[in-house]
Amino acid sequence: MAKIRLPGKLPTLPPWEALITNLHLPRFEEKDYQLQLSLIHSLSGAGANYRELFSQVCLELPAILKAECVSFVRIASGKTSVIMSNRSRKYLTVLFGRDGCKEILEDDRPLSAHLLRSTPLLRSLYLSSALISQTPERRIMMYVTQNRPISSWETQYINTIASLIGHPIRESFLQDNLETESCRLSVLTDNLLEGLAVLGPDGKILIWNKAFERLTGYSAREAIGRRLGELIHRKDNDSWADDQLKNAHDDPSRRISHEEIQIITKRNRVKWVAISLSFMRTRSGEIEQTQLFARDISKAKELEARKSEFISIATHELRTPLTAAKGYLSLVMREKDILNAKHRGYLGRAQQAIDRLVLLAEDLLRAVQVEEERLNLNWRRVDLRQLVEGLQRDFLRRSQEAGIPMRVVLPDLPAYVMADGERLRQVFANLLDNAFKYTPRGVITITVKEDTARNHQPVYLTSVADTGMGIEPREVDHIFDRFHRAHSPEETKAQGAGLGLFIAKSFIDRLNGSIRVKSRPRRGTVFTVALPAAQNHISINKKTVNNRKVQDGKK
Amino acid sequence: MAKSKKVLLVEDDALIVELYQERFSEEDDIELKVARDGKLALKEVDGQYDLILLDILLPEINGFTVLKKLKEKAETRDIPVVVLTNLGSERTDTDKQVALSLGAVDYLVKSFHTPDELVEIVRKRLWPTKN
Repeated sequence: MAKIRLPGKLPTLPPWEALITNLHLPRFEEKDYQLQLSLIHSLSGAGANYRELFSQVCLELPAILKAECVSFVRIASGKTSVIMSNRSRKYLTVLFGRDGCKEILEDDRPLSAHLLRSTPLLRSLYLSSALISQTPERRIMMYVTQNRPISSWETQYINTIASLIGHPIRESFLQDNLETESCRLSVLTDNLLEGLAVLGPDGKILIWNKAFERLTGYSAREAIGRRLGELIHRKDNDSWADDQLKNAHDDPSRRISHEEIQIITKRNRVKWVAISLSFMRTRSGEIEQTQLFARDISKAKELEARKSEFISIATHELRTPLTAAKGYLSLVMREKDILNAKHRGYLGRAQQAIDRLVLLAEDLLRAVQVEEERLNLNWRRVDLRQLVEGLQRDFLRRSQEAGIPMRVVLPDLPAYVMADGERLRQVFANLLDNAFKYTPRGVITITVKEDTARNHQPVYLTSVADTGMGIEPREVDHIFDRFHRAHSPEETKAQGAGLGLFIAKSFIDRLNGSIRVKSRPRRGTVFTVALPAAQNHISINKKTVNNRKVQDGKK
Repeated sequence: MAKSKKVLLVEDDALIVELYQERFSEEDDIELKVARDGKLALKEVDGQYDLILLDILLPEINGFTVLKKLKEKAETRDIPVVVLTNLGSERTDTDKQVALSLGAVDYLVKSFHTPDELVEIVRKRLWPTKN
């Protein structure tokens, strides 16, 4: 063992008996276990030097001797030894005798050897448990030995020493822990393929992972502390990010929102991304934290576009020969002079076959389109009231020109359903369009209300009622069929293969809803669309209403 | 009888062109001309035409562009255009709306109509007052 002289002069230690006498220690008490205390270090008055010494040891010696940390403090008979480990796993023992620092011993023995040398150690409750933390490499323990029972005063001293010594250790330990945890978190978040960002309650960015950096072009350093709206620019709608947060702020029941949008990156590139926001709230509904996940879906969008293109081309290629075959067959069928019944029979069958192929092609292509649409759908929470109000505005002019007023009946509370807002709007627009088409005079009424009759999932009913021509009973059953067209002479628009209601029904079915029609010829027709309410919908339910945070006037 | 009405068919597919040419040749009072793509169509068309049957999926420039250009030129603006296309049910709603909003008077899907029916529709457009 090498001996190293410590530079500088260190203060001398007062005799410990004198310390104890001066402090008027009470009688010692019996304790359950025997501890050997060789040295008690007081921290009042005379002890200040010692405190300094210890601090010095803790802070300076490691630096001087390039120790990694203070790993041990052992108070043993007449001496205090501070044991530090350095990077090369050598152990340095600093011995403090009663009259000052004695020597510093460099020790090659592993830590366990020190353990064996010490008197029975106790991970005692006296010692602040914050000091006692076990990690695989660093054990911070305090060994205290005493040859008589230890009193509460002594305990306090030990505690204070421990905490004094432990404080820097604990600090650095916590710091290390924090850094380790922080490192771990970084490693986790940085290796995510998805962009992950976390916003604080004020909407400012706290976490911004590497994937988000790649997605937006803004580094974490640029992002942290700023508002989301400064970094996520939606194409054509610069206030999108702020709106999202504001909507969530205004509506406490809002938990998740998900959208596919185009953003403009820092370098002015446009990218398609799928973004999800999820809001963590306190009990009172305030937003505590917002999590964002984002994925670059540019490739997927491109694929969709190419698929779309393929479909266009495929339709053409499929249909052209079908059209030609159908056409020529019909031409041949006209040659009644040349054809006999047998020929006409054969040709008739061929025509049927062709017509079936035409329908099959329709179905096939429709199915592909539906699949695309499913991928294209922008699912979000839609307030039916807003939808209907928008339609009212859109059809206002038509209503005025036709002289048929529109009545709108909406509930007081928002009527939320999960749907692709634009497609749903198209469905209702289709119904309204039909209503206007087939109503020469009267009034058209649009109603939205919650269906409380059912005892299962809450449902919203939206109905479009007119006082028009109505539908013949025999037609009512087929009205949602594909290619069905009204055979009334009033139909002025010749085309549309009769698919409007069919498409509407398919779409509503996909939303787990239903669409029904009731009609009386010459009296009027009512189409009713039932849609399940979105999660966290606001029901006419006293309990929910009372719990909801009222924010009137804040909008 | 003199051929009194002139119709331009803008269509690139030979099969379809032949089919319609065949059928329209039976109509003494309708003269059917054919342009095989949008560019040729725009070159060919003038105030003499009474109706244009316009396909959408055309080489080089698509039918919607042709339609737009037709409506921009003063001498072709008033010629009724019937879109005659293979784009069918799965896109009918949007394409139809686009076509109508661009100024087409009608939107037909080829495979839904026999040549006879097409002639019928064309006749109604050419001679609207007739029954």
